[in-house]
Amino acid sequence: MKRLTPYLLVSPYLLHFLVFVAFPVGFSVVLTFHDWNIISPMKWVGLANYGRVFRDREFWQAVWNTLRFLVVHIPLQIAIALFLAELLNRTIRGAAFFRAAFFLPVIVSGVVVTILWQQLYSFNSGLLNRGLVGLGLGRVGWLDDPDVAMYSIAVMATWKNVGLYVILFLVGLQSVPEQYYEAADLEGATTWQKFRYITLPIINPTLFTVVVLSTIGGFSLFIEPYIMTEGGPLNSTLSAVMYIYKQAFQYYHMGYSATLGFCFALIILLVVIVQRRYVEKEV
Amino acid sequence: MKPLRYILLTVAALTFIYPFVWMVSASLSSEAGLGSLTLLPIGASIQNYMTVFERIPLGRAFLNSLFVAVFTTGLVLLSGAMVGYALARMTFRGRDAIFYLIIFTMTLPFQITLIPNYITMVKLGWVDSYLALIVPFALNSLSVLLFRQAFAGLPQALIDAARIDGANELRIIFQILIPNILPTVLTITILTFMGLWNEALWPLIVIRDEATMTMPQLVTLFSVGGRADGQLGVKIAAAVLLALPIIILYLFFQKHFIRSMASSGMKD
Amino acid sequence: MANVQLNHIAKAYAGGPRVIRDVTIDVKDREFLVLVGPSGCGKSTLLRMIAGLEDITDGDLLIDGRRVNDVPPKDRDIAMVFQNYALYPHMTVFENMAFGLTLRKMSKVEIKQRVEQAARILEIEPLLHRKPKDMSGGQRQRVAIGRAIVREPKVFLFDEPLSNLDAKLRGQTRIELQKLHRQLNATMIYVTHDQVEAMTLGDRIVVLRGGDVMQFDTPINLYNHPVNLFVAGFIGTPPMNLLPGIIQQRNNRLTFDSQGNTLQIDLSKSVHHERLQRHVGKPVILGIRAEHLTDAPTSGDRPFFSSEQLPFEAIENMGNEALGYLTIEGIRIVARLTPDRAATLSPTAHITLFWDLDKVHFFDAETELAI
Repeated sequence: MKRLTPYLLVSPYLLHFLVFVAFPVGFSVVLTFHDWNIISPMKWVGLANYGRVFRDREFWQAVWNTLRFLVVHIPLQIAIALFLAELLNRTIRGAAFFRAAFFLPVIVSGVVVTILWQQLYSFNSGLLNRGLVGLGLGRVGWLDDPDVAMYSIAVMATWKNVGLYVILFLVGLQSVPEQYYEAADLEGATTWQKFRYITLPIINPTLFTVVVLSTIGGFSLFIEPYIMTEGGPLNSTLSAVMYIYKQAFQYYHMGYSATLGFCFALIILLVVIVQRRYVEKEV
Repeated sequence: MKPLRYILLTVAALTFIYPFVWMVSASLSSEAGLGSLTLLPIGASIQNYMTVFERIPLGRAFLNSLFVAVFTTGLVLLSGAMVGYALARMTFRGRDAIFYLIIFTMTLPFQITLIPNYITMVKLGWVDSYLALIVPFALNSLSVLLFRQAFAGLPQALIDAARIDGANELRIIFQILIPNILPTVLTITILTFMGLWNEALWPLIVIRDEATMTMPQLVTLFSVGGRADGQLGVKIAAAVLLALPIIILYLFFQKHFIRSMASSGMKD
Repeated sequence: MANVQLNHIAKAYAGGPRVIRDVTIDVKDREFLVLVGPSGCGKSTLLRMIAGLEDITDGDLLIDGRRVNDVPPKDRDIAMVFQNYALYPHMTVFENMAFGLTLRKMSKVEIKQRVEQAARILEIEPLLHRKPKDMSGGQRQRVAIGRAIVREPKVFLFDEPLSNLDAKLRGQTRIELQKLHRQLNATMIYVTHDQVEAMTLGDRIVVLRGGDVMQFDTPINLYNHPVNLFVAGFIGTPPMNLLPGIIQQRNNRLTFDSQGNTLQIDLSKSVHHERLQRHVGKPVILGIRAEHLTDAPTSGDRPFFSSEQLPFEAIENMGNEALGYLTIEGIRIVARLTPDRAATLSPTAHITLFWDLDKVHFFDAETELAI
């Protein structure tokens, strides 16, 4: 009995792991070699699904869209988060209020944020375009122009998540001893030099965390374009997860969808590895 | 320098707060209010809300969301505490292996397991049932790790004393140890509840029946489908209703929200 | 109440060496037994095995004649007081004391009665509704003892319960523990690293080192007849002086020559004469306690050896006793001086020391066992 106790205690985990992690991973490997629409029996297709991934222009378009999203989203997020964290770090009065304010969009459902920004971006009645028109400028197709729409979504995602990263950076910044800056002042360092040579190296681990978190978050982009643009215009905001979803639940290509999931996970892994190298070497 | 800093901070804060204020007042305005920067409703009316409730069973969805989030959070705390305790406080064969499995699970992209998990739901006949919304989330790796860490920080003598007093393992966990790690419990509660409340993708996959839908799912479908008739005010009213519960919680527990999210971010 | 028997008890952690090798102890009913030794000697492990908090690798543990190796702690009818008290932080004092009783499904009335009675004995009645964090170390200590008392167990176990108290409180609590022991008439097993606690509290003492029992005896026997070098050095304050040397036989005279030949002590007339015959020519260690190495012979009818005048390095005069420190062949030696006389000495005075030869101990230098 006594020896069994720990196993009884961890049994919920083991059961959950088997059903929702081990089985799905194993089964999705099997699925990638099959054609299956759930209803009729599975059909072995060998490596055909993988071959199809390489020829699937829509998938690569979706991957490319996701990357375009990240390329705007990550630097923007880091820049704004660092800037706000720096401002907050020297602030004592009201710091709690500002923190709480920046954090507000983080806790709210992406669905809410998307509906809100859908209005802001609206071509005819949106606040942004009304503002532009008011200034005597022309309207921008924030969500209607294929060259702009994905970046609009990236800006919105930044607005939603940046509060979390402000907090993470703040924790990092507060670990920098004040004496370092005083010493640098004595040596006549400029603000930029102080940031570059004192702050940045110390918050490097945080920076890496932020990059990885927002990369993984960005790669799971789904609900925002799903509501805002349904992937359009011209598939320009179709994200990879959306495409996987579409293959599974619109076309019932379960085998192919699983293959896409696998390939996409591999791409995520690759990107994170590259980032780790780059971030660790750079700073 | 100092005034400038406060000006910048205030502008930033307004950027994050004002849109929500605008949402509320726009939802209470006629369609005309949607295009203007307003603080107070223009032509105040609750027509948008009436329309929402006429067209979709949002009250039902609220109860669904509440039930799913509360019940699942309870299960996450229960399972997390049991597994975390075993990992932190007991020695047994396979303990390290389980620990690494948990880390592995956390790094596994959900894109891989999404489709097979849906199929599991189909085969179990759980599609369109609460089980599909609850069971897959009833245990999560982060909560196990947070519990493990918290339990590891408690003195062994506390457990020994309870054991001599005659407490079994479950009583030790829930009656002796848990009351001494309440901050961790709160962190896990907040993270789990918030995650579940806001989850939209999974319900979209496993629930087709409107009576079982959660709020984010119903609002998403309402907003994407034609039922809002392109009326932005109605969509925004639905969004306000979805945001309200979590914002109210946030007003009460904002420090804990921030700390919880920051601690989960630092784990990776 | 109960007796506790440990028969050839051994402990090894998975795959590791034995940390307790072969311990056999019988604790009599109502006895106060102390387990003492330096850290890492296995005393706490032994206690935790008696409590049921650690598995017993080998041997039998009997409480009141019943083998309890595989009986869980709660069914062994024992209570334990921990080093850091281990009070439940979220419970009041009353709840802390009542917890074990509640789990035993005792009636509320009886629980209340027992807790209040224990609180009265320990004089903690006013604290019953406080939480541990609002109390001093001494108060927590009492609550921890109270939690054990209310259970009315067969055996009380104490794991270094005084080590977190300051010196003054420690002294007071020692006395109270003695009183409590008489009052409760209970079997108590007590672990400490402090030999003063061991000497003052124990009816009998087990001295442990490296998982082995070094000696198991009454305090006075441990002090007067240490069976080996370790016990000799461990028990007593100041520690026994230990001086290596060799036993020599010269023209019918038996002597102890110190290693560097500074001292040649004639043992012909001492009680050790017979026993040392077999060790002639062999290295031994001479042990002598400070009170037997004095500036004046205490009793005229015993053989004394008076050493040549030696310079002191320091004198500590505490009024009731005075200790003089000197070095012989690089070994620090402490002698007990007459306080009045010590007061007149300059700290570097030369003085003749009298060695009470019948009180000298000899140990085989190789086996470290008493001769």
